[in-house]
Order: sequence, then C-alpha cells, then structure tokens
Amino acid sequence: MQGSKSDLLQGTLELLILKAIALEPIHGYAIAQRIQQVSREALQVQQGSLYPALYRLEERGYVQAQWRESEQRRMAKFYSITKKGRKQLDAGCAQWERTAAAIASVLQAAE
Amino acid sequence: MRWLRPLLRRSAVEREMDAELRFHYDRMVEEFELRGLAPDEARRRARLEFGGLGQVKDDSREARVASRFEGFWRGFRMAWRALAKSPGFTAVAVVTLALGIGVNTVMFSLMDHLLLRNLPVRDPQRLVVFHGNFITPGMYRGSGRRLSFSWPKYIAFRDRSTAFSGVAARFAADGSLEYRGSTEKIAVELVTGNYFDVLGVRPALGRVFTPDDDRTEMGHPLAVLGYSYWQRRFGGDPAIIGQQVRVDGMPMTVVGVSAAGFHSVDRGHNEDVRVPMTMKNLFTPGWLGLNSWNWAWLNIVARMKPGLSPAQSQAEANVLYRQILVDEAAKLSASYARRQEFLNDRLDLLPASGGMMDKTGDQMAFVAELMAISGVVLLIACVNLAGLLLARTAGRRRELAIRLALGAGRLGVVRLLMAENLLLTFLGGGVGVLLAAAMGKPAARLLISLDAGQLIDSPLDWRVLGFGLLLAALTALAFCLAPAVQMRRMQLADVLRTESGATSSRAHVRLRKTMVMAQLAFSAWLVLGAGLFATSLSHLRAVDLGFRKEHLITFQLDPLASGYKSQETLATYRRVRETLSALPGVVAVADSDYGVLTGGINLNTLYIEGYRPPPSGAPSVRELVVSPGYLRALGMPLRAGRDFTPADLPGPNQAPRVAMVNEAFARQYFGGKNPVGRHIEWSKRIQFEIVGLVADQRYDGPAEQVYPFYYYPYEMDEPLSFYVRTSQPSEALLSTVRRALEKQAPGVPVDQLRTMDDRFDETIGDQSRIAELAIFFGVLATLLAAMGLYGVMAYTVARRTREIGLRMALGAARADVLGMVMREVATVTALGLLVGLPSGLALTRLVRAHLYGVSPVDPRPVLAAAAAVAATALVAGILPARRATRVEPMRALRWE
Repeated sequence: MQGSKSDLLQGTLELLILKAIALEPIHGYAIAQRIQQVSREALQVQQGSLYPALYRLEERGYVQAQWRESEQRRMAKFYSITKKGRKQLDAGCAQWERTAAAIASVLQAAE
Repeated sequence: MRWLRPLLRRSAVEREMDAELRFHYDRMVEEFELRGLAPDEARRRARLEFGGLGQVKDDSREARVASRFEGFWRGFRMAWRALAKSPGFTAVAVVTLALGIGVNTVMFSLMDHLLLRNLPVRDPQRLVVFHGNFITPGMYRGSGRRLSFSWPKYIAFRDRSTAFSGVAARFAADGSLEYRGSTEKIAVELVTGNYFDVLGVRPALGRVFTPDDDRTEMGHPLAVLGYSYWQRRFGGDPAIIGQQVRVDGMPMTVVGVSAAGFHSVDRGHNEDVRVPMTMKNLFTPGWLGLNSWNWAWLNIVARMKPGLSPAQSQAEANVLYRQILVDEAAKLSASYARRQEFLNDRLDLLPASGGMMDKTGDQMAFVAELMAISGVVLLIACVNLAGLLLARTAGRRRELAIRLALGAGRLGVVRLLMAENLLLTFLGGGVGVLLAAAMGKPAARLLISLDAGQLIDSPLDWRVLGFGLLLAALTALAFCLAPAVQMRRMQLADVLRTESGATSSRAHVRLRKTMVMAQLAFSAWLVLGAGLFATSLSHLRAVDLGFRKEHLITFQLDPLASGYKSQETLATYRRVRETLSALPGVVAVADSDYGVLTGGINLNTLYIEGYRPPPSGAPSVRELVVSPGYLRALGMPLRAGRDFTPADLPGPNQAPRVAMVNEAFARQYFGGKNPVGRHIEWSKRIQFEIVGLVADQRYDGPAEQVYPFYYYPYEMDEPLSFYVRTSQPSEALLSTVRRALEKQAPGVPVDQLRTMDDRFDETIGDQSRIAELAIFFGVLATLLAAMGLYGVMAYTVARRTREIGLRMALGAARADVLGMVMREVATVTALGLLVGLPSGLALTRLVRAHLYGVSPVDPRPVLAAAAAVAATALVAGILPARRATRVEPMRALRWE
C-alpha cells in the first residue's frame, strides 16, 4: 500500500484530483478519501503530495478554492474545477486511455 | 494580482495553509476514532500517517508561483548569514567587484561627459552646426576651419534662410576679467544676440542676451557669466548681477548667469563669460574684419524648423548657400583657379545635439582606450570572482550535500547559491558605485585636463548610476547561472561517499584551471598593452625636439587682453625681457609670437629665390616671429650662418630684412644646399636675406612631423610666448619669474607659467596616462591571476597528497614531485600566454595609431609581457609545489 504512492505517475495524481472534484466542490481531506474509496483502497494519496498538487493546480487555474463551512460545521477550503480544468481533465482522460490501452496491448502481446 | 497576495500577506497565507492542513489532520483523527481507536492512539496514527507537517508545508509552498519570490527573501536572509560566516571571502569578493565596477563607472562617466551627453538645452536633437568643405582663409579657434564661416554668410543665413527657426553664431576668444583689483584669464565666447534663444538656454539668474543686445558695434558692454565660472570666481553671489567688471580692460555690466550644466556648444570646452558679438573688436585687435566676406571665423549653430527632416533642412540650406556662393564668386578675381571648386561647395548640417564635434577623433580614441582597459579589468575581476566562488562551493560540498540530504531540494540549494551571488554582486556594485562617486572628480582631473575636469559637476547622476547598476546586473546574471550549472553536476551520493577521487572533483579542477588560464590570458593583454604604451612613451621622450627642454621656463603674456595699448604693450615686453635677463640664474630670455608645444602657428605665402613653385601657387610656409637670442634661449643648434642680433630688429614702421630657415626648409626649397645668403620674399617690396640655418624643431610635439619653418625678428604687440633659459634646474626660479612679471606687467595674467619639462609632459599627457593606467592595471591583473593560480595549485596538491605520498614511498625524489607540480603550473601558464599574446597583439592593432615608434613586429614587448606573466605565475606556483615536496609519505598514506 505504501508503495502505490510513489508509483503514481507524475501528472496522474493531478488527473485524479480533477476527476474527484469534477462532480461537486469538496475539501482536501474529502479528495483523498474519495480517491481512496473509488479505487477501493488501491490508491492512497498522501498529504505530502496532495496539497502541493492542489496548489499547483490552483496556480495554473485548473481549480479554484473557497472557504466554506464543512459538514462538521467547521470552516474548510473547498476546491472546485474551473472551465480550464475541465478541458484539462478531458484531455488528460483521453490521453490516459490511449496510454493504458497501448500498455495493455503490449503486455498482452508479451504473454 | 493574485500572485502578489502571498508575497504581501505572507503570514495570512501561512495561516490559511496551517488551517487547511490542521483541518485535514483533525479529520484523520476523527476517522481513526470512528474506527474505534482511543483518542491518544488515533492522534498518534494520524501524525504517523500525515508525515512531517513542516515538510508538507515546505513542499506546498514550493508549489506556489509566489514562493519563488518569497523563497528569495528567505534565501537572502540565509545568504546573508552564510556570507557573514566567511567575512574574509566576502570582503575579497566585494572589493574585487567594487574595483571592477567602480573603475568602469568612472570611465563611463568620463565618456558620457566627453562624448555621449546631449547639451542641456531645449530639444537638442533639432540643433545642427554648419560644415563646409571649401577651405577659405580665416581665424580658426579650436573648432576647425571647416566649421568656420564669414559674418556676411552668417547674416545671409540668419535673414534669408527658410530651413531654420533660428540661426546663431559664436566665436571663442581669450580674455581677462578684472574684479576688485584681481585679474584672471578667462575663456570668452562672443555670441550673437539670438544665441541663447536659438539654443534654448535659460538664465539661472538675471537675464541672457536678446537680439536688442547686439545691434551697434562696440555699443553693448554686457556680460553673461557661465554658471561654473560664477560659482568659482564669485562664489555664486547673486549680488554680482548689475555690477561692473572689467573685461579686457573695458567696464562691462553683468546682466545674468546662464543655466547650470551648460558649458559650451563646443564639446569638452567651458566658456567663462559670454559677450555680444558686436564687442568683437575688443577681443580681436589684430583683425577687425567683421564684414569681409572671405574671412571665416564664426561657428554657425541653427535650430531646424519643426516638421523639417534633417535632409530637407540640408537641401533647403544648400539652395541658399548656392546663391550666396554665386554672389561671392562675382567678387573673385577673374584668374582665380579654383572658381569651380569654390562654387561647388556644399553645406553639411552636422547634428549638434551634443555640441560641435571638434577634435573628438582624438578624444574618442583616448576614451575608447580607457574604456577598453577598464573593461578588461572588469573581466578579470569577474573571472577572479568566479574562481573564488568555485573554490568556495567546492569547500562547501559537504554542507550543500547535507542540505540536499535533509530535503532542501536541488532548487532550494541552487536558489541559496544564487541569492548569495546576487547579494555579493550588489554589495560589490554598490561599493563600486560609491567608489566611483568618490573618485569621479579626482579621477577626471587626473585623466583628462583640469579644464575638462571642471565640466563634471556631479560625477554621480542617474545615467552613471544606471550604468553601474547595469554592469552589476549583468555580472550578477553571469554568476547566478553558474551555481545552476554546477549543481547539475553535483551528485549527492558522490559527495557524501567521499571527498577525494570523485570525478566531479577532477572536472572542478579542470574548470578552475581554465579560469586561471583565462585570467593569465587577460593579464597578458594588459601587460602587453602596458609594454607597448611604455615603449611608445619612452620613444616619445627620447625624440630630439630640436631644442633643449631641460632648464627652460615658458609662459605667455597678453597685455592687450588686459586693456594695454600697443605702445604700452611693446614697452612692457621690453621691460620683461630686461628684468628677466638680469635675474640671477637666468642665462637667456627670448620670445616668439606662437609657442612651442602650445598649438597654433601662422603660415605665410613665400616666394623663394631659385625655387620654381608648382602651378597651384607659391608655397605656404610656417612662420615664427622671434626676438634676437631665440636660438640661445631654446638651445637650438645653428647649422650655418649666424643668429639674429638686436641690430636685426627693424625700427618702427620698417619691414624685417633678415630671416633664418630650418633644415627641412633647405631640403625642400634649396635641394639641401646651404641657403645662407639666398633670399625669400613676401612681395617685391618686402624681402628677407637668409642669414642662418637652424636645426629642425619639432614644434608641435614629439609625435608630429618636421615642417619647413622660417624665422624673422620683429617686435610684436601681440600675445607672446616667452622662454627663459636657466643655469640650474628651473623649478626653483618659477616663483621668482612670477613675482618679476607681476611687478613689470601689472594686471596682466601670467598664462601657463611652467617648466618646459612640464609642458612637454602635458603634451604627451594622454600617452603617459594611458601607459600608467595600463601598467597599474597590468600589475593588478597579474597579481590577481597569480592568486588564482596559487589557489588552484594549492587545492590540487592538497587533493593529491595521498598520491604524492605514495609516489614518494615508491622512491620518487623530491625533485620529481616538484617537477610534477611545476609542470602543471607551466602548462597552465603556457596555455594562458598562448591564448593571450596573439589575441592581445591582435587587439593592440586597434591602438597602433596611438603608439609612437613601436614596430608591429617588434618582439620585445611581447617577450617582456610573456616573461613578466610567466615569472609571476611560476612564483605563485612554487609555493604549493614546495608544500608537495614536504609531504611525509607515512602520514600521507595514513591520511583518510
């Protein structure tokens, strides 16, 4: 489990984050939770990578942040996807599928 | 401005980040509690899983764009601490840079004042100065004959030209100013009434001239003071306005002071007092030709009409010029041979935004040479600093590696190094600029004449400051890139494993050796330049001037400029001659109308017995009017015939009858035969018998040609140059001579009273200053290079201690070890010279024009430069080499 973090390809984490917030604005902790749940615990996002990635995305204008009250009635920073981020997400998904398909076909052929 | 926010409100951003991470952590704790862990255990697990909070925050910060700026501030604080930890290194680096930048800033300030700066007037780009190509007779003062025009021509342009919104004229003259009993020589500028208006120069005080101040001949005894003269002579006292001063003996009213910073339209000059043009006859008693159409003496400055391009203005001006020439040609004698040439002359309008360019060719070359030398100094300072930085980084490899290992991030380390270098460069730049501010004025006085030195009122203005900062920024840029390159090479594991033997270390030595090589090459340039300039200087000093300059005093008197009448002047000159001759220690006294080594000479058309002139006409020959005893006073050898005697002096209203000629004259016009007894004539009525043949005199200075000269005796009522031959070193007599003159010629300023040796040194001043500077910087550069070489070799020897120990243990003699190290030193030195000398020779080709009597193939300066650099390098290398021979094999092997 510990290993899956470092094996995450650069750029992939950002794609996952964009996907996680594409439905509705959520805060950092929830992003980590969601990725973990959806991947059935296969992918675990570490805080040390999550927040720098979030800030990078924010700087590039893919996400925007807003302080809001969370479900626990505490203030939390909610991230939502921007138009630019959505485009990036679509492009990233397409790219990922192509890459995954290509890798899959190589691996199958090798067998 | 989102990116600015983190910078401005850093703590707010930090707080926000803290809050966000805190929220995350709290949720994790809750999560663990939900799973049934005790609160303590839940917190422990959360902490464990969360990782180092500081690390997360650091990484997060890095992800922000703004963190680049923020990191810099942090970096600067760290850099400051790091530099403060090694004050020795910091001091050396800052001083090195300050020298480089300071020297260049001073040079730039000089160049700016001499060559670049615009006149401080309204719209200087619209100003032009007239330049013709046909040479007419006239009076040329400094500004050159092609820039001089007659008064009628000026009037035609002023009244009829359509191309200009204003046309003004000026003439520079010498004069004297007496105020409350003390008389001083001044630079006078005769200006037309519209001069200030055309230029757009305002008064700083009182008023300037208007056309109404310039209507009737000798009818406007008014003066406008130059700002710096007002400061110097009257201490900036505003009460001087409306007061009377005596200019050339005539009472004149001071009406105003011109704007500060305006010195002259003649670049590099500084006029003290301006007087209306109609007062001309006061300053030019020898010639009154205001209205003669073929007597050129005025510089014409004009302001182009708005909307006209320079080309259009020039075309329009030439239409009028052509009309003027056609009118004038009608007055030429019918047989005038150059009529067509006269008619074909064209007017060029030279841009005058910076003033008239006169001898700037010379000045330009001089300043360019200074800039080149100082540029090389900066280059050497930079390379030297680079070497220092490299050594420092090498010494800090472990520290940097530890920073890396602790998670500083490669970027962080590079940033730290960059911040350090930036800080160093700006410290150095700041000190350099301050140095320039402090040294600017004295340096200007030292490097250029005192006169021009006065032009620099504020050595540190925004242009100079800007230049200094630009230099610092460029240097900083170069040094900021260096650590990035270095760090790319630095392998963390390598460094932590071991210090010695790592490949990067060898690369490091190679880099440093290359730098030392470059430094040696640069110093070879400067030393070679110094050698060439020094050789040139010694040649100049050794030139036979045709007279003995030792034990000789010279000065100039101009009683007319102080209001003396002609008869008074002649009487004064006689008294001066007698009094000075009677002084103890004085051997002979003589005078001439123009002075040796002061510039200026008359040419006169001569008809020479037995010489058939070419079709273009009788030759113009250089003429000196001298007193009897001229040869004796100057120590000029007589080759044949006799010197003038007092009996040769013509009486009042008599023409001179005898003359002497020099050898160049005899060679050119008498085929080298003895000319004594032959005749030369001005006209059928005025004939001279040649009574003596004298040696050639290098009248204009050692680097000048020898020209044909003829001398005749006469008592002139014009400004004279005097020569006093003394029996002992002449410095001792200077004050005695001055006292005698003040008594015999009261109220007449004694101009340029000095020994001929000093006068000679002034003549070759540019050359000797360049030579001194080149030698100074050459020595400095070589020492810096030697220090660099010492550093590298010491490092190499330390690194190879074990290898050397091993060699010695295996039987290598101390001499072998010494040889081994010295071979490296020799290789670096030889490579440096191999690169430096040929490129230096190629570069010195650029200054050949300024070198006197230095043959391009003369190997001596090259060999001398090579020997000097090599010797210094070998001395620098021998110290580490000797240390190598003292390595104890046993200790060396046990080491590490």
